Amino acid sequence: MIMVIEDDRDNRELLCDILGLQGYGVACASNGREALSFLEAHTARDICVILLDLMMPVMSGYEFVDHQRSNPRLASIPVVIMSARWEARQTFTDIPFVRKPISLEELLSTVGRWCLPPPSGASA
Amino acid sequence: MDTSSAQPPPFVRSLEHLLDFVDTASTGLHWVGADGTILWANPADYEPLGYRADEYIGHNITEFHAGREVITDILARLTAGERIHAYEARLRCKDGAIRHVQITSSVLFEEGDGGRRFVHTRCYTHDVTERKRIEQARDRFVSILGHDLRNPLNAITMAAVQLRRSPSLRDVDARMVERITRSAERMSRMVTDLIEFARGLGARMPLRRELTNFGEVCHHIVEETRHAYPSVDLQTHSEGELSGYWDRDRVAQAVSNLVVNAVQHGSPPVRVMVRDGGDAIVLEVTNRGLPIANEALSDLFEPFSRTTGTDGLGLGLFIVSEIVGAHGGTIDVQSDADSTRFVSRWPRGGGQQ
Repeated sequence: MIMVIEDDRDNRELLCDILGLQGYGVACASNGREALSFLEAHTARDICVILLDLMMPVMSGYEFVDHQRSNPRLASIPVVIMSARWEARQTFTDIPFVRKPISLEELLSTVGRWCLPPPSGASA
Repeated sequence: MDTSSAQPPPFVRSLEHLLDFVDTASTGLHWVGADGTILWANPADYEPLGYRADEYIGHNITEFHAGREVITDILARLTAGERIHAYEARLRCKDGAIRHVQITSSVLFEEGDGGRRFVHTRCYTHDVTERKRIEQARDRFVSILGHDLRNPLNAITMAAVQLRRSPSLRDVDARMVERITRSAERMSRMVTDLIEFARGLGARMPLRRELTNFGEVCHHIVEETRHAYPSVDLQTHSEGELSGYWDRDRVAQAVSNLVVNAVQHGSPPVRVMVRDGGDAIVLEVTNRGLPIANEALSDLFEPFSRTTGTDGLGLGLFIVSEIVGAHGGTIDVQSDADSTRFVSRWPRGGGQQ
């Protein structure tokens, strides 16, 4: 399952729809806090990758990364940052980065590094 | 010791006149001894921090600095005979608040039998707290604005790209989707340029240099541009050793601005050529089309220059020249009836990581 953490409703729903259309299972959260609550009931094996926005209310992407890395149960889940800020790549040099506006091809190829290809027959 | 000030100007009739002058100055002035003790200061130096003269003079300067490493560095440089100019520091007020200052200072040395003697520093403190506050508010505003404008643009672009993938789309609909994508990308580029411009006002562009292959960056940008402009003939050519120490993201941004500028304002084919130029690499972006008027060429790299069209804000080439300049490089443009060519040189920055 892919976890999408994005506060902008249109972007969040769109990402979840597109990934769903590709055949992936998707979990969506609108901020870091909501995502951590969801992850409490799941293990690292349930989530193949987390797609993370940075600027969010309640709990930002920066804070989420701090929490996730300090929790041994979640630390091994790969994270991909989605941001329009060039500086974001420089803040997290060890985390893959997809620049907004997101190129669909780039996003799908990045996701494919950690998530098994969706079952054949999924519509594009 | 500098003897030019040994004789006071004739209009200074007494020492009191000089003291009155420095006591009423709006710039903070102080002397510090070799051990860091404040020997003398004018009110503009200690009053903004909330102290009285007796709470400040006679104390060690390090007590008033919020960053110990900063004052340690300043004192070390001064002791070594260096003159510091507009060195940024943070001072702690009596109530705990922080004031941002720029310090300009040098040491008065006296030559004697025992060698050179540190007499005192000559420090001028310029308070920039208000300017810092405005800069921080501006950065916050720009950041929030950028975030809020980009989110809907991102959704428009992604939705359009997903629609384009649909096999049942009619040709006429596909063209509509193409226009949505292109317009959203143009808007997105304008937002990025505007934010870059607002952030960079009055500031030196920070760079994060890393070992980068310039050819690979160009190739990536050309591929990205092909997605946005599938019908444009875009050609790339690279030759020679193209590695160096540059800020990869900034280079990508500059190349992208140059390529999109050529696509939007020129005629195809657009050629992107990058080659080994010895201690620098040379990037040439060429397009065909109408030449740029001679009188417009000189303003091309100025902000809000819209001499080549009205598709954008006129910031793209300005940002390119800022990025090239920050890397110590140069950029030039040649335009004639045959083609328009932007030639930039990017020093490899060996060792500057």
